[in-house]
Amino acid sequence: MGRTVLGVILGLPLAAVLCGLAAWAWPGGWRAVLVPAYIAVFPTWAALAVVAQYGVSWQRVLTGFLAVGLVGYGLLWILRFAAGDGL
Amino acid sequence: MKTRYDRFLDLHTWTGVIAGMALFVAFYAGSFMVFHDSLHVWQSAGQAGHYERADAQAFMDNFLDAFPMAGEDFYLMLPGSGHGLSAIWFDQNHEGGAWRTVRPQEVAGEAYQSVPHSGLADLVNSAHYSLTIPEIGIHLMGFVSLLFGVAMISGLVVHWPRIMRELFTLQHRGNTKRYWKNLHNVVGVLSFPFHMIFAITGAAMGMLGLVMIMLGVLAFGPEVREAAADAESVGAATG
Repeated sequence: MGRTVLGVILGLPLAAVLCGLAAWAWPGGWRAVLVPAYIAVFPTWAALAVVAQYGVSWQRVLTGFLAVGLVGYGLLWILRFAAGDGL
Repeated sequence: MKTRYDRFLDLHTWTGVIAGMALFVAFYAGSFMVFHDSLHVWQSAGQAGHYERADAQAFMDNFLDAFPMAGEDFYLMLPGSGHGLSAIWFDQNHEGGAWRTVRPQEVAGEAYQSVPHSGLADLVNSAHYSLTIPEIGIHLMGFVSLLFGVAMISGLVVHWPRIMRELFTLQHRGNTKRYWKNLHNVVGVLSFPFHMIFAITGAAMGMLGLVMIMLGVLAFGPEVREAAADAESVGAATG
C-alpha cells in the first residue's frame, strides 16, 4: 500500500521531470514536442506507480524516487542552462 | 511477507476493482456516445419538419437575424442530413455554455426554448465524461483513467511470463473459474493497446491543469502556458 501511494504521488513529478528531460533533449526543441511530452507523462506516471512495487520497502521506494527525481531535475537545469533559458 | 508477484497481483486487483466501477459507467455511456448524433435526432423526432434544400438560405438568414451572436461559428445541417434543416451552435450566454439546435419553426416567430433539446444525449455525454458529477467529475475520471493504466501495466507484468502459454490454452471444459481467468488474461492482453489509448486520453482530458502546472513548474517554466495555447491553436487549425 505504501509503495503504491508513493508511486502515485511521487510518480507525477518524476514523470514530469523525465518527460521534460526528453523534450529538452529533443533535437527540434521542447516547443515542438510539448504535446507529445504532455501525453507521455501519463503512461510514464502509471508505469512509475507499477515500478514502485519493485521496491523492497516503502523507504527504499521513497529514497529511489527522490534520488532519480533530483538527478533528473539537475540534468534538466543543465539542459535549460545550456539552451540559454535564462535561469 | 508478500512476494513481489503478490504485490503486483494486489495492485492489479485493487486498482482494477476501484477504477472498474467508474469505468463501467464511462464505458457503458461511451458505447452509447457512438450514437450521440442519432440519439439527438431520435429525441428531436417530429421537430425536423419537411424542408427542401432551397429553403436553407432563407432559414440561415432568419437564424442569423434571431441569433446574431451565433454568426461567428455555427453548423448548418441541410435537409436530408439526418438532422433535418437546422443550425447548431454553442450558446455562450447559457450558464456554462451549451450546444443549441435551432430549427426553422423557432426562428419563424415561435419562442426560443432555453431548455436543451437533447437531454438524453447530454446525460449520456455527461455520464461518459464525468459520471454526471459537476465540476470535479471530469478530474475524478482523469484519476480513474490513471488507475486504469496502472491496473493494465501491472496486469501485463503479472501475466506476461505465462501469456504465450495461456493464449493457446483457452478451453471451456473442466475448471470454469480457470476458463474465466484465462479469458480475462487473453482479452486483457490482446486489447491492451486499445485500452491504453482510453486510459491515456481519459487521463489527459481530466488532469490537464494538474500536469501542465507540474510540467510548467518542473520542466518548461512559465512559458509553457503560451506554448500550450500555441499548440492548441495549431491543433485546431489542422483539425
